Amino acid sequence: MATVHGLLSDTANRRPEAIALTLGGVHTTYAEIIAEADRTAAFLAEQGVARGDRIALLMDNSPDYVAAFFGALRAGACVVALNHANRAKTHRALLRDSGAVGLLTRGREARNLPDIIADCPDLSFAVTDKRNPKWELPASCDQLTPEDVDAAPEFTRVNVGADDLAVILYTSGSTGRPRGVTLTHGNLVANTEQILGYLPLDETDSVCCVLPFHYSFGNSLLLTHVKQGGRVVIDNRFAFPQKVMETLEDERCTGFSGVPSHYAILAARTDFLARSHKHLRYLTQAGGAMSPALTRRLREAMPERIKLYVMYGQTEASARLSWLPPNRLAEKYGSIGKGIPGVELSVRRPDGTECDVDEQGEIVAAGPNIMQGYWNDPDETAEVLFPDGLHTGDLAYRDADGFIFIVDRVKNMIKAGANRVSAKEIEEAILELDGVVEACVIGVPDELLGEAIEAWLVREGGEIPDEQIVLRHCLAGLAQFKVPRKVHFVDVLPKNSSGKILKAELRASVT
Amino acid sequence: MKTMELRDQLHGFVVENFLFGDTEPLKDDQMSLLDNGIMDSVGVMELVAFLEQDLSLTIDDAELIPENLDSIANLVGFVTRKQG
Repeated sequence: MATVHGLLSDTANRRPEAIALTLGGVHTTYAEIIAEADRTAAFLAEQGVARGDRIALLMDNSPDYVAAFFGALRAGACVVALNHANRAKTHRALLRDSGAVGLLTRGREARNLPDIIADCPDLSFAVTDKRNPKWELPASCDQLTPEDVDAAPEFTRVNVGADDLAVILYTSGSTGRPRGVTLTHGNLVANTEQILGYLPLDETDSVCCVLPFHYSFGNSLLLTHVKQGGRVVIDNRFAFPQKVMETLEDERCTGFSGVPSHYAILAARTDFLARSHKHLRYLTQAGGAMSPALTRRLREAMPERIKLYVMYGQTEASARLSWLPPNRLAEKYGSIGKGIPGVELSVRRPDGTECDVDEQGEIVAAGPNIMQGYWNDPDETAEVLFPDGLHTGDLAYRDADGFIFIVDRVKNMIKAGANRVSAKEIEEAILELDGVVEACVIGVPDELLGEAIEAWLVREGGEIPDEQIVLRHCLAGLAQFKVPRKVHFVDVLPKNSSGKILKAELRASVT
Repeated sequence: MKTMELRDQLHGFVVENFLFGDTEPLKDDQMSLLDNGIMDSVGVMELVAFLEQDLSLTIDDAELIPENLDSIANLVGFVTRKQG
């Protein structure tokens, strides 16, 4: 039965000396990764970690992360991949929620260790490579080092199957409380194979990876390349995008993957669009809708041989649900494409029946990659998992050719007066204006209307257009009830670590 | 602008915008803003917008590197060179 760590061992057996990872010019082979993963697995077994126990990882993208990830899986554990952009308080809440028995962390991520592990009754050990003598750690939690990991005895194989939980990935919920998406080995292996069904990768491919591995998109880059025996070139310096450009070129990367804000920053602050990209073969984009204007700009600037894959997915689906074939991109800007091989993607009415062409409904996804549910949260699970599949919460329609276009989040509809209004429609109208880089439209509580429409804009250079110009432009293209009541100009929009705009934060700023 | 004034202005921007007034996490002028979680990639863009708008600098894409932007000391050196 296929397991996630089986992807690594198959490749390590086949191509032990091939380079699996590159970070800062240092290469790590598949043989080195699996040897380190085995040491981690043996260490975890020595600590008493049993099949199904949760092991939390709090690390930057690195060979250490990859070895710890596969090591925990080989020991039969379920990995809880923590987002290092979170604060100690959130880490602690997730350690408690997941009932993690061990925490593997490194370097600067461990700097707030006492705060992170306080009041985590299930946590019996934490591995860090740095210690602060001033730390006061709970007596119930052993503090261990990478040397302890290396000193562990021989690893004895643990029986793990496709139905065992492999990871819990926490995502933000509509309620504001993080929800733990539970994915089995079977879910992740299935989605890895599904992705490779439309994105041809082989052992000659090297992807430049700026996405964190704790994020489902980043995790899917790792797993697809491990399965194919390709190479993941890690660059954690996207804050300085020109550095990433150098990595892309110096490491002869054949692929680059990003969310819309990555491409927006690359286009605005690097020579990405002007380069010839001698080695680059493809770009993939997911993690939210990229504006059709930027997608078009990207496609038109890239040499013909570089394919741009626009994709769509959710953590609840392991990662990927749809793709837009690059050769159809120019005629279907704004579409998320069709279901990937092995995923049944449909647009449905509230009564469960399938929508007609051009009729709006909710995207429902079914396939072997769909999660088991939210960890310890049957109520939230029952909100999204139904007999017909995962209800994504995304409102969309399907055109006559079967291509799906997302209109909005079901829960992000604005009810202004008697009218249901799509925030996305207004955002797209505003984005047509020269000088507007980003736009976000939400409904804010209003005594008269229920919700009033307000827009937040980021302007290029901080100047024109002004509010009057924006409103005049909206009025020219939209029904009057869709024109925002107020326009706020900001330098940046609040976003989570995956680049998604935090609408709740904007709403809270005016209520 | 005198170096100390410039330093205070840059320090003030970082504290105000990334730490919401709390100076405690910014232990010294050499510490990396990125490695210590004070600034992220969006924050860098915000910082660059500040340098361009408030200090009237023109910043080339190639200048967006940690050596110029990733600590108060690097920022002071970078802005001083640009203004010179």
